[in-house]
Amino acid sequence: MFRRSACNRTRDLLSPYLDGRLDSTELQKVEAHLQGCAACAREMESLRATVSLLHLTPVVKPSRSFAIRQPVAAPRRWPGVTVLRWSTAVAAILLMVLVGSEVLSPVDMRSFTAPASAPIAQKSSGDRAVAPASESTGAGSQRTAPVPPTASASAPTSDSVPPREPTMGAPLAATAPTPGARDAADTAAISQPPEAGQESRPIASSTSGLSILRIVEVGLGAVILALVAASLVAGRTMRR
Amino acid sequence: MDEQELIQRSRAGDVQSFNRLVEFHQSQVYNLAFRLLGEAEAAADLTQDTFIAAFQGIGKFRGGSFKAWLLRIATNACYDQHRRQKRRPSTSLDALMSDPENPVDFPDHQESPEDYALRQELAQAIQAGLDALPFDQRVIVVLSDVQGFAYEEIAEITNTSLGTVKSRLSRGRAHLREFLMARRELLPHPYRH
Repeated sequence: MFRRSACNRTRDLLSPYLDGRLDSTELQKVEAHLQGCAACAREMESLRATVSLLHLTPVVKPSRSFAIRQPVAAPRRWPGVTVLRWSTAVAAILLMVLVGSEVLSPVDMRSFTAPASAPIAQKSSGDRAVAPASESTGAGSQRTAPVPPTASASAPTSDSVPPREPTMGAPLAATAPTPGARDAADTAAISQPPEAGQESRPIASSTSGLSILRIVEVGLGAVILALVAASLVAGRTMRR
Repeated sequence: MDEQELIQRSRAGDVQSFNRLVEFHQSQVYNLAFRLLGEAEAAADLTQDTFIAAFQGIGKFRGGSFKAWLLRIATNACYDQHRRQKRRPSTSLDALMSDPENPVDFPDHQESPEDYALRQELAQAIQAGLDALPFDQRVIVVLSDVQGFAYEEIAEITNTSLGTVKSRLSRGRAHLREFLMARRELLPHPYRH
């Protein structure tokens, strides 16, 4: 049993012994065992012959040169990947422009609603009636400024209130209030939501325009995601 | 121009400088691939892929032994190729014998025909033995006993520890010895003992 264990331990060390890779302690043990064990000594010689054979393995001359050519060395690119990337970039820029313009010019839905009998409608009618004789007071005129009726014919220039189409309201003469009161009413009508019972008339085209804008934004976002996914798949396919 | 200068120029995209490195190392890379894969065509393809990958990735070479870095690329590629080959039916010993009409190794003009035949027969027997080894033992045996690398170099090429190199080499040599002893008829007469 002891001899077998010593043989097993020695055989495990024959390979590094052959290569001169044993420390001094191990080297002494192996050499001492080999001197006393014929079986292990034969195995040692057999191992030495095997390694010697391996050293005789001929070197095979390559059949050709493996020098690389420039077009082969350059990373190959599928032209479609470039198209995908540019498309993604353009779609992303478009989306940013749309969102950015929306953020910088917020649209308040309530500002597009107006009661049926709002003084604004009358004011516009009145303006139209005297328009040929009036001149614009300039870009800086405000709805709330106390100005004569003729002067108020100029288009409203407040940033928060976009120009409105003149409406076919009641004739001026029938319901025209005083200039100051009228302008105050204008302001009230603009800033307050329609009162209960009053008929509100949202401008359908603006609302639908907003919906279309939203749809376009969502659509662009989806397109961008699809293009990014396609770019990733194309890139992975190329690397294979 | 020394190797470091060629490597620097290769990093800058100089293909001609890189091809000088190819010229210097291609025989060793090819022979490693051939002994690991056992097929000339597969070895040639792998060698070409190795050098292309090395050129494209030379920016990642951090210094040290360029040869070891190159052989690591080749060894890893051989591992991948071996896994793919395992899915195919195993080749018989007859298939491993080189075709006399299209030998892998050409005779040396100073070598007698008898010596050439002896060398061919020996090479075939050794290759049969290498092909019978588990792949990780085959890699270590080829790097150590066929290509002559030291344990430390083998550890660097294979990205393993010295202890792993020693144990795989020991087991690989033992397996090869048993294979050749059981099939002495494969060895040329002078080597049958």
